[in-house]
Amino acid sequence: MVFSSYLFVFYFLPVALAVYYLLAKAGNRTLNYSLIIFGYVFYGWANPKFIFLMLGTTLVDWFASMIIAHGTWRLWRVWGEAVVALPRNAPRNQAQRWAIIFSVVLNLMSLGFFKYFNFGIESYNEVVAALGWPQAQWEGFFRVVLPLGISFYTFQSLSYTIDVYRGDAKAMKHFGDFACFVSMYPHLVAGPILQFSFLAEQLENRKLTMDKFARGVAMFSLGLGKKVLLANPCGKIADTVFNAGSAHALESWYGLGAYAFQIYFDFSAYSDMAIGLGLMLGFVFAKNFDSPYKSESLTDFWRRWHISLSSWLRDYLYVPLGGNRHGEARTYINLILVMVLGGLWHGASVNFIIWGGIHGGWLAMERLMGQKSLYAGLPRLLRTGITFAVVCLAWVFFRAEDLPSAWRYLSSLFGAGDGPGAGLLMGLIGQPYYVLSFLAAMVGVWGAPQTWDMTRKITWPKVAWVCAILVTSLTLLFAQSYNPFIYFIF
Amino acid sequence: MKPIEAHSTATIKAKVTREEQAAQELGHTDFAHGTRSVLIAFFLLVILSVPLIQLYAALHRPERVTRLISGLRGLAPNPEQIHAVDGVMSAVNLLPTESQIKRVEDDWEQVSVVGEALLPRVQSLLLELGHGNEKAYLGKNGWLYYRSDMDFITGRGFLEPAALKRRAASGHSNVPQPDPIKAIVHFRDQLAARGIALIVMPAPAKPSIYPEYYADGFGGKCQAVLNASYDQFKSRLSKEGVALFDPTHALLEEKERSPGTPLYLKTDTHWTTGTMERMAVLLAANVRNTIVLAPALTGRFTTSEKPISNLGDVAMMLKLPKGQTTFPPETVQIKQVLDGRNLWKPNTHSEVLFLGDSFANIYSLEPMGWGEAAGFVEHLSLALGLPLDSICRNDAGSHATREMLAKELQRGNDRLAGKKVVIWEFAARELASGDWKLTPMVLGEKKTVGFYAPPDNQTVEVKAVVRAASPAPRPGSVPYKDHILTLHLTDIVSSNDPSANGKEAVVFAWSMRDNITMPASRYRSGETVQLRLQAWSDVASKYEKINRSELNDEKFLLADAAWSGEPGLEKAEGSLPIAGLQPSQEEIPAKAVASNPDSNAPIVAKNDAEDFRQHCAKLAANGDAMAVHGKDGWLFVRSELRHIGVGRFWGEAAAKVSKATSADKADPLPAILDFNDQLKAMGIELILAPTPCKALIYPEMLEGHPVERLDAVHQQFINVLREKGVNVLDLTEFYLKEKSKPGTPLLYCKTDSHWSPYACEVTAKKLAEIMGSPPWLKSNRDAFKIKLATRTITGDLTDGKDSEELPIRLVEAPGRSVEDKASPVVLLGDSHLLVFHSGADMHGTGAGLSDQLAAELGIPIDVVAVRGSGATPARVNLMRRARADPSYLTGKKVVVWCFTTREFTESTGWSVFKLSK
Repeated sequence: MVFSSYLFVFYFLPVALAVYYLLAKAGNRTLNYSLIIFGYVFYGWANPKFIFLMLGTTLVDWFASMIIAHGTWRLWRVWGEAVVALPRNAPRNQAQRWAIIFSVVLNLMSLGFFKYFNFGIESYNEVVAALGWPQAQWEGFFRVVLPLGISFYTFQSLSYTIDVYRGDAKAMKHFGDFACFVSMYPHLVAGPILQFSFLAEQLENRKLTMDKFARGVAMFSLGLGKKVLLANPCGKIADTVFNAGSAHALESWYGLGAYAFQIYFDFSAYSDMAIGLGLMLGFVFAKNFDSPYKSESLTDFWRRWHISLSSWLRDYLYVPLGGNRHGEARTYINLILVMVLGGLWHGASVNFIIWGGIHGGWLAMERLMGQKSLYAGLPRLLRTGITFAVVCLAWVFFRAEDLPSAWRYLSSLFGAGDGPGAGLLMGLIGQPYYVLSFLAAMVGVWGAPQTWDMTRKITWPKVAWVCAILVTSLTLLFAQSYNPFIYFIF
Repeated sequence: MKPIEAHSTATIKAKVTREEQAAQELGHTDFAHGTRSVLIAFFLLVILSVPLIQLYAALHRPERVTRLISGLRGLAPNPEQIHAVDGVMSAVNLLPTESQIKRVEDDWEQVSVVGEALLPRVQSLLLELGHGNEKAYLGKNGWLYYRSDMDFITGRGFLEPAALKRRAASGHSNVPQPDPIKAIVHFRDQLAARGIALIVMPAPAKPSIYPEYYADGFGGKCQAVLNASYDQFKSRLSKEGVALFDPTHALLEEKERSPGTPLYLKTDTHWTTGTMERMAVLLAANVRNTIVLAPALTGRFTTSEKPISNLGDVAMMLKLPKGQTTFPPETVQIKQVLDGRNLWKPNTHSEVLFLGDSFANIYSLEPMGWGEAAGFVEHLSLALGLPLDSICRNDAGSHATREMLAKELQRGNDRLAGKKVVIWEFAARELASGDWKLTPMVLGEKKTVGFYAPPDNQTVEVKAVVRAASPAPRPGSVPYKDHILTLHLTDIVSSNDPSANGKEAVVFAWSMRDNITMPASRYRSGETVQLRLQAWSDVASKYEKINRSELNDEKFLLADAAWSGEPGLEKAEGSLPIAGLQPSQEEIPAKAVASNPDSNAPIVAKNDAEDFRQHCAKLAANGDAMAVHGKDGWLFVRSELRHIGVGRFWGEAAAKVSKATSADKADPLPAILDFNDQLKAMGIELILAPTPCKALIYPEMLEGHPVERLDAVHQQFINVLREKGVNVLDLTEFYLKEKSKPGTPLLYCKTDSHWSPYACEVTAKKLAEIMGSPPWLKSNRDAFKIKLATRTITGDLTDGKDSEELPIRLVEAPGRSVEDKASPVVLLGDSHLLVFHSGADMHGTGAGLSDQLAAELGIPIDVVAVRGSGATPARVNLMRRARADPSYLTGKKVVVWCFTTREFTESTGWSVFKLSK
């Protein structure tokens, strides 16, 4: 189910909210159960068979956390005993070590199988074909369908067992509370990736307030507006140009800019809506985007873009790899490695590796220069402009279907993409509606406040603005069937 | 990854984690007084308004709720499925699939009252911004383009490895085969193994030919804009030796030749009628040049023009408000192709099989809104002068039609038998988006399953595949307003009679009612239909007299039939997903009466049968209206004149002149002789009494000169029959004698296709005279009262305004009926037995041939009559009665077979079959 869909807004959400608030007096645990039920319906609506996978992951990690918390796999002996956080930096016994290994390996295997199986077989087939052994190719292999949001909930679930193992969090005694953490529909399929330690307390102890609900309404409405009014039309421009057989340079830059706006507004809109829905349910989620295209360096960009992922990678990958504690060279290697793995998290493709490599390499270079950009001496406007251009050029690899397509697009940016269909392209993407949406997106990126900041103080004009955006977006929803969330496929 | 050591933005204070910041900020929002409540109230109002409005609407239109509920119910497994669970996997498989869920979600959106109200208005607003929608793109000067066409042209080369790889990876449950060349060569090879040639025809996308109406920079050029891989596609097909008919070049030539005449509809994805007809002619020439086919059947196919107005499919995709004027309907002049007097239909015995998509269906498939029987296949058939077999389905031309063909073959229906060439048409855009499955063409064994007939007095709901449909007349082209056709259904699945499952059935259904074509007339081979069936025997007494066309194969004649045609059935079908099955009032021509410019012109040689024959042929060929004007308000049936015009119609000549649906049914002689022999073997005497053509009795009312007997050909035929032992009553001779008597009333109605009440009276007397007083005749003439009167009728050949008064001899049988199935005398035939007898549009009761014969013989008569179908369907009805009741024929002594003589050539055929098991 998609937040910006008729079914979600007009049926799922009213019912889910009504049930939730009717149960409000029954306590948080009852509310959590209602969230689990609605979470599984929300998730299963895409493909009901995958609810078993999510349930399996949840069960495995909860049992692993129990074993870690109690230090024994004979859980029936300690059933009902109080659970406390483990002491940090204390040695763990064999059962605890096996439990965390089991949890990590199983989660990563599941993620790896669903995300990289197809890529692995295709790569194998290409390699054996290149080596002249086409008979060794695996023809007709079955294709694995990627379960919705697996990257997000696996990372979240994994963060839980790791936090419990490290002693950063107390294990959840009640399975229902943990299942609620994993399956909570506001952030289930496209984040933000929530740190368990932050949410643990809220699962047991949160308050439903009018303030939260109203702020949630504002966040959700503005997020919906960003998605429907800006991301979708920009996405249409980007798709048209990226899928084109030929394009003039101007059209290619226009298409690339549109993609940059699309991915930002699409993902940040989803995060806004997730935060808004969380608030309506009494939860507080952390900010996921912080005006990233206003960054003056790539280092700055990564402090503002998909913050929950970069935080996760920092806490669970960069730091365990040694972070910056083992000398300069190792730090750079760690930095590049983490970014490449971050790229791979998005999907199995050489392009994602290159995209991660570009960012990792550039970040390493900036670190070498004292966390300043190569163009740190230029005026601020230019610094922002150049950073945006670098990010955009890297987006080419992120967006293109494969490496040849990426090179081809890059070459078309510099005038090498003319062809017979190019003449029609500007007719397609130059419609006033698209041009206006593109310009509005530019204003949204560089001239408008963030949703988070805008809703910090709610005034009457803002209420009017929010209501107008809500109604306009919902009205336009009826005329749009093009409504994908980019991050649903990751 | 750069660790986030400290948040640098202005809003984040140092050492405060973003989670802490969130907890601080989100939990403490600063609201101006009243804003909080208003915001919440407005939001709740908005998200609740849609379901509440929907609920309110549901109270008024419960079908909306029914649809939603049935959709949701469809997601749940039924008790049988639950019962059949035998393991974890089978239990998991009970869960609904993605596509089922998507369908329910789409349904919810589609039945949304708010959406229905908002969408057209939103679309109008977007139109103001020069924006179409995701399917329809706005061009200049009212031109509209289909997005998929545009994507095809502007998109990546469809043969580029990256594009092929992307498409191969795009499927979920089924992996698409993206390479069209692989599929085409695979199909060609399979056909070649059976000695059949393949011609591939991609139908060019509209923006390929007309880019200038979408974007600047194309003015003045007459060059096609093609997908980057298109040239490679052509050259690779050429290398593989695949014959390609690419209309692109011809279209550009046409465009250059007639710059003011659009080759494509402005608001539709498809070509105009003229373009389509021209391409059909070019393709026909191409086929003739490459494949040796049977010679063209000159004169078999004719055309009839008719204007059609409709809004293009792309304009409809815009979903603009009703009554919008931005895109007015476009009007085209379609040329319907007629096979004889019937609308063209595919013929499975053809040497040519055409596989096509919407480019073939437009102007052919009525639900598309552009008329019927005037499409590409019809015009290709016309251009080739040959019947064609076709399998067409809108969309998915890359695989749908091949799959339909493959399924037929798998079932043992060898659709490729006798074929010399298969022409495979698909929209060019399919090259970049279609699933080019490699479909094996394997001929399976034909399963022998019984014909299903529903139990008596029960209604059975079935879903089945139409395998064949008998011809259906065009409204207004035949002298009757109702018609029943015969369907051959297979793969039956019934919801309330499991015994029907998997069987096939012969089903009678309305093809025309009150001059309106009914859904069954549009059924095509391979189409899946949902019908409610009942036993034919339940309704036979009511409907067996209606004109009915039969399927050619004898096995269908012999099968127990079912009936599909209860009141309301058509409405039920209209609500099926197959869109547009409601009868279209627009297509009903006014009762067609053509003026005959030559009717007063003297023919060169008078009183000469041959000249009269030629004159009739000329009159018949001059126009396609049902009636031809004679003198003094006399009207003649055009097909009757054609029949007179064809000359000899039996023996070797039969196949050339007959309109029978197959050559082996063209000759009436074997059927009549066989029928005579069978009756004779049962001790029943046959009296064959073909009703003469009106023009042969009153030729002077047609061409203005008194003449002698002009039916030399018929006399020859009667002689042949008599030589073979058939007792023929030569009514022409008899009527001409009657006519010559002074003061004799008219023997034919001036404005009707039938004889007059007086002809019925004298014919009955003549028949009674022939029969004499045999011992089996228990005559009781007193039981029938005679009364003289006059009756005013409006003939079936008029436009409903002219009437005539006729003297009648009214036969009354107080307390009894003139019809009795147990009678030793059977009157078998066409509507001549029903006129003045069966009421309603048959001009009343009590004065038809059966009434008069009953009065003359003094016994009731068994009437077996079918309107317009005295040749075969009437005999089939007799056969059905005989099979239903083995004792039925035992009491019969005389069968009088009476039908209009034009049926010798104008009927759907003369089948030979056994009357009893």
